[in-house]
Amino acid sequence: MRSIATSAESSADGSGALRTTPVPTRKRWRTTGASFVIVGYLGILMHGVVCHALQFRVNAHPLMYFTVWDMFCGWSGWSFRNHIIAEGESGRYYRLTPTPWGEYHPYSNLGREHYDSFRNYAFRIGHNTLKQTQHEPMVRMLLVEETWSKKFNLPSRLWYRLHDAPPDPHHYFHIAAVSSADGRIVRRNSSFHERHRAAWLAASLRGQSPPGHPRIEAVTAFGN
Amino acid sequence: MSSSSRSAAASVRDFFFAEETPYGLAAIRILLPLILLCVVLPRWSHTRELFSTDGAPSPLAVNYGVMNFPPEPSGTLAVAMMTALAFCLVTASVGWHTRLSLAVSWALYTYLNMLDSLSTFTKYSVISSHVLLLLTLSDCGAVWSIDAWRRRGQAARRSPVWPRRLVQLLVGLIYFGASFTKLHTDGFISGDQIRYWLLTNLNNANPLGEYLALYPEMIVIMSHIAVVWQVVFLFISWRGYGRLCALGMGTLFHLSTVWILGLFIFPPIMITTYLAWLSEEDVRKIRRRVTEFADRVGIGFPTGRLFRLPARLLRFGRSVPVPSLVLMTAALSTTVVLGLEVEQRLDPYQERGPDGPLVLTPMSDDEVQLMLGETETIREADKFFSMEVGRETMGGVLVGRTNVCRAGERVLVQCTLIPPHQDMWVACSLMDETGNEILRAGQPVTREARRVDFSFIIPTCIPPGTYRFTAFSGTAEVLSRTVTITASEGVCDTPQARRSETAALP
Repeated sequence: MRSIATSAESSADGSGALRTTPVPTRKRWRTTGASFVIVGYLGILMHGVVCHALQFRVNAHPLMYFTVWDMFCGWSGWSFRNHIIAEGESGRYYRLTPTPWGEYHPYSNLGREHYDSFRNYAFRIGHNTLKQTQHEPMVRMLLVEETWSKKFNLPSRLWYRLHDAPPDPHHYFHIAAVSSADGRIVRRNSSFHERHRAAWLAASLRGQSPPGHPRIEAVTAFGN
Repeated sequence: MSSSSRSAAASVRDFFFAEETPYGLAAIRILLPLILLCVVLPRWSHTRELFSTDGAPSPLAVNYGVMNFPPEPSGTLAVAMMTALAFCLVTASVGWHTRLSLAVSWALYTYLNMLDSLSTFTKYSVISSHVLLLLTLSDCGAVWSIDAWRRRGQAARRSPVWPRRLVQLLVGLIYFGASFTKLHTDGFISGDQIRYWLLTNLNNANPLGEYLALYPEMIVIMSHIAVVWQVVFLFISWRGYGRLCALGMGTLFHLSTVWILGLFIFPPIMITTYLAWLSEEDVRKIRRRVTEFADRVGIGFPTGRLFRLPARLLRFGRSVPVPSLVLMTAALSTTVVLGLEVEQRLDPYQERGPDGPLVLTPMSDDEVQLMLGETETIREADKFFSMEVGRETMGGVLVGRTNVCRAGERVLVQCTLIPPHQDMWVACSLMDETGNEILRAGQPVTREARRVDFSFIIPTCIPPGTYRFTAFSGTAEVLSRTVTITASEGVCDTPQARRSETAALP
């Protein structure tokens, strides 16, 4: 805009000297442009806040992550860890995490596979370990979920303020998913807790319905 | 147009388009890239693994069911981009071709983050992306920058205040939106979720948080304050005591999360965004006060000493007969080439050792048996977090916890449950040292319950001594708590009276 306005003026007075008088015009354009930016930006932010408040289409697109402020999504009373394992043709098993070349710990002393709460990336991590290392031919990969009650995360100096007995932690392991050696998921199991919920529900339904009822069979199958 | 509409329009115009020297945004521009470098530099040597097709990136879009968004770069390209990002964060912080540096930083930072949702992309990255974008649109290089020094002799540029306002509104809306999250989260207000978060070892060490987990009543109070503060922040933070209160509480809140939750990057980023509340007038006041203080103690404001080295560097820069932009491009290119060479030599996957790539070692049979055996059923004890004795509840949690009760006193025994659990029958007994049951109560507990309370009146005639409350799930003993029972103030003199009173209790 500036060059057009100034050249018009320089040809009008014939002096050839550039004048800086069109500043107000430029300023007006800048103000108009800025107004669009302000309205557009605030509109996008408000869209995210309203969608989030109403729980409407918050997962419609990855860019919603930029405007939905769900920093506290709720934390379970259980700790979880993911272990990625490969089974070789010989029947031997190999751990693919921690990665043998040195694991990256993004936020604490844990590898990144432990932050995969939706289990969407575990086999990609496992497949990368297979790509970068020497090993026998593999037949499949397994994602094993490890879980334990968070009360055992209390340090011992604090444990005895809540409990008389010493801590007796128990870690549960559960095969969460299975993939082919190239990382394609071939089976996704219900999670450790989904499996328990289904078993409890099946037990509860058994008291209300005759044995062999399809509703019980369906829930029991989910739990397995 | 009515006069009130005109005045409202003028207020909005003043709010967004009043002109000022952008000190607040300049301060953010200096600090934010330095904080982001604390994230970028430790990840640099893992770039190939985290962000490229030579590794295992975890694009955010996959969680939303969208594939190949954004496209994944090759390993070499990813390392080049990460190196360029580090370079541009430095040049943005020192204000060398500020707008260009910020634009490149914003683009590369956002793009690379979106490729690693597991270990890089978090809400603080999103907030940083927003702020980098707004800084790019602003004139934050007008002061406290190499660009400003290069224009030595000219007065500091003034520009419309709207980018600073947008940063302020962004922060306000973040808190406002986050308050909805808390309202939606089952178990937030009762403190249960926060208690479990405090015991989640996914972030850095949080010793204060672990200690706070013993006091759920404190968590309940803090949760209420946090929600109210997040809702009102947007409305009270603009001026006067409201601003002081909102920003002061925010600073304390974010600083406390360092020790309570083990968050190291989120707090400095949020506190840095508070500099958007720093107006030109505030800077003038601070300068005046610092100068007055320096004069009073007789040290003088050390401007000369402070800027001696940068001034020398600048003089040297001016003596180089190359345009600044060309110099910057050359420096960037050199840094990227050096970065590629160093990364190549680091051999991130250790493939070029004497024996070639690393060899996987098989797992032991015990380990295989442990991990791949039959899935076990949850133990009853693992469905219970704790059992405590107290006198009152607040917001559903026990307060006035004690291990000493008086005979004849009413006490509450609270068992905290860990979801998920099924519908259960939970009982609680008071037993003496020999295991004789003195009192017993039980109740059904539905699957959504997070706590179960038992109210007991300790018999007046009970002999003083050590007793224990024991909780049962079905028939399994799950928790016990030792208490000392002291003598009643009233006198219970006959064994018959003692027996009849005990028998009368439920």
